[in-house]
Amino acid sequence: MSGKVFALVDGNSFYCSCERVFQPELSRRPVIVLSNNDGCAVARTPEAKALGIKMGAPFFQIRDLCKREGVAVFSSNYALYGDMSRRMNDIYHRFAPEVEVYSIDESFLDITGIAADRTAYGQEIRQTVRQWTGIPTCVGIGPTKTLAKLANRTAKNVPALKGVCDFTNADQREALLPPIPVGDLWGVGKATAEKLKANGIETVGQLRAMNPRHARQLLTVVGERMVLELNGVLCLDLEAAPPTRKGMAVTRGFSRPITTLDEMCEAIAAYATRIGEKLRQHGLAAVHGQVFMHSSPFAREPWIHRSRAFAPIEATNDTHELIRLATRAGREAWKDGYRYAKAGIILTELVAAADVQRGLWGAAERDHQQKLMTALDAVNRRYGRGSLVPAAAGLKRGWGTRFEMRSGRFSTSWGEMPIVSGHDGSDTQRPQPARRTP
Amino acid sequence: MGARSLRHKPRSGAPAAHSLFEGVLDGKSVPVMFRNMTALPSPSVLHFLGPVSSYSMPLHLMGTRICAGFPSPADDFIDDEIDLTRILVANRPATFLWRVSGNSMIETGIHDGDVVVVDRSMNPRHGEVVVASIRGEVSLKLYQNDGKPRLAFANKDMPAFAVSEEDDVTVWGVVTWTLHKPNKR
Repeated sequence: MSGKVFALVDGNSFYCSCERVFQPELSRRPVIVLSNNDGCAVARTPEAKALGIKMGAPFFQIRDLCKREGVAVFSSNYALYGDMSRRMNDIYHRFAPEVEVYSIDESFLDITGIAADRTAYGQEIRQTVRQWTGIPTCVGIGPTKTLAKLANRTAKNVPALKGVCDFTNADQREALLPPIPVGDLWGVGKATAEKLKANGIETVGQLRAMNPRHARQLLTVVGERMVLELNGVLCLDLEAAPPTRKGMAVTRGFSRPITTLDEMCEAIAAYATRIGEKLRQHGLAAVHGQVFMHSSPFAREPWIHRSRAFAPIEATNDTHELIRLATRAGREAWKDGYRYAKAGIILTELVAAADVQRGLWGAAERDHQQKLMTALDAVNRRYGRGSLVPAAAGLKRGWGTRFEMRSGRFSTSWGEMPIVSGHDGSDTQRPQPARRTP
Repeated sequence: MGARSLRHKPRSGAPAAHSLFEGVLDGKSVPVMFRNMTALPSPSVLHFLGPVSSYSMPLHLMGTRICAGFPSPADDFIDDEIDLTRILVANRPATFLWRVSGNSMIETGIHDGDVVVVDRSMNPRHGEVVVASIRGEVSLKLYQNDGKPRLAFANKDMPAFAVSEEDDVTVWGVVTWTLHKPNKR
């Protein structure tokens, strides 16, 4: 075994659990959260799963079911989920010297050498997170990240484990790990699972027994690593510092199809504004990027997908420059007569803003622009995102992303704080009930 | 989010005790760790300082201008600033704000429209004001515990609720501060 001990902690039905913290009346109702533009279900409580609501189910297909069964439906509230995630990671840092934030609801903790009774330690993490934030979690423990991830999945699926599964414990590992289907393994997609099945390998136990060199032949170095990690050999260490970003994207579906070039340019300018903010926030500059747009894959309409690359003369994170480049690429990509459902900007090459090669000319303008961007960011930090925007990004934004059933930004906005009743029946005024199923 | 950890390598000859704590530096938490022991009795033995808010609003108690002439006699006595966030938010990941609607708690100094600071990490004590969740409704209550924990109205004529996970009567968090504006402006 690797000598290391990792714990993977993740939130159960995380987005739905965040909604429930501030609206306890939802605790016994099925809850789902929809993707951007209220497109499809991206988070479901067990009660909602039991009603047959599948991951990714388009909302228009389940709208009637939700109404009939009293399912509470919410638009994504990323301000809330992001804040709850930050709080959970704050807590993890009290239990482990190093934490890798793997996604908004999953973190790896390095708990090597910390606790003799790891299951009890896992329970203590769960209970602390549950009490402090209200979010239920599961904890998977293992000598490698792959085994910790599998243990976490097992903790979710086996109620008797009470939310903690420890694969550093040989008894628990040998009883529970071998029969898991390979398709449930981290990093094994449909194609890989098929390939393994063709070679007679259907369970994690069989894969673990495979010769790593054969795994390499079959599934490249990724497969070899998987086999080694299943055997407790460390291949993937904790990445406590997030790797430098190599790319960045802002892509969004429209709330209604866009049919005019003016509106498309408005949308692209808005995305360019956002990507400029992101670049400056991370101290990066764009070297190369592309703009794309396409029609809806669901609607019975002619399909179109267009894209066009752009590259500034020198790497930039200036919003105005990005708007100029991206809208020009958008105009070139545009084709009349289609109903566009989505567009986006993808930056494919980034450099640290401090390392940008400076041209000889235009230094004064660049300094002016840089000061303007600093001021723009400061205003938006102080007065809230989108307080000050370039007019090119549009003011009405009829195409803007829809969040019609979003709950309050309970934990991050002074104006959207949850309301606690201080009524005792002797007064008649009652607080407004929280929003229910539309 | 993201990495804000700065590892300190164990000194040779570090104490044979496992200590893990967070220091505070420029609003960032810095976990410090010695890994000389393999087992630990219980993490609750460890004492942690929570990370400090990075969006605090310091108030200057006093301060002296730099003067070209005689140095200020107060210079040696200048205190740190008062950081309100640090006082109001003792445990950041567990602290939430709720706005109050109604005057049932007026005797405890909580008025309609006030904001209460609520700490979920605290266990309530007898007589404390808490945010309670009673069958899905969130309300301010007095926590009473004389053997059997109950959630009571400030109005003594109203019957109290017995705390019970099964009946969906729970404490959401303990009220630690009330923010009240005495003047309308």
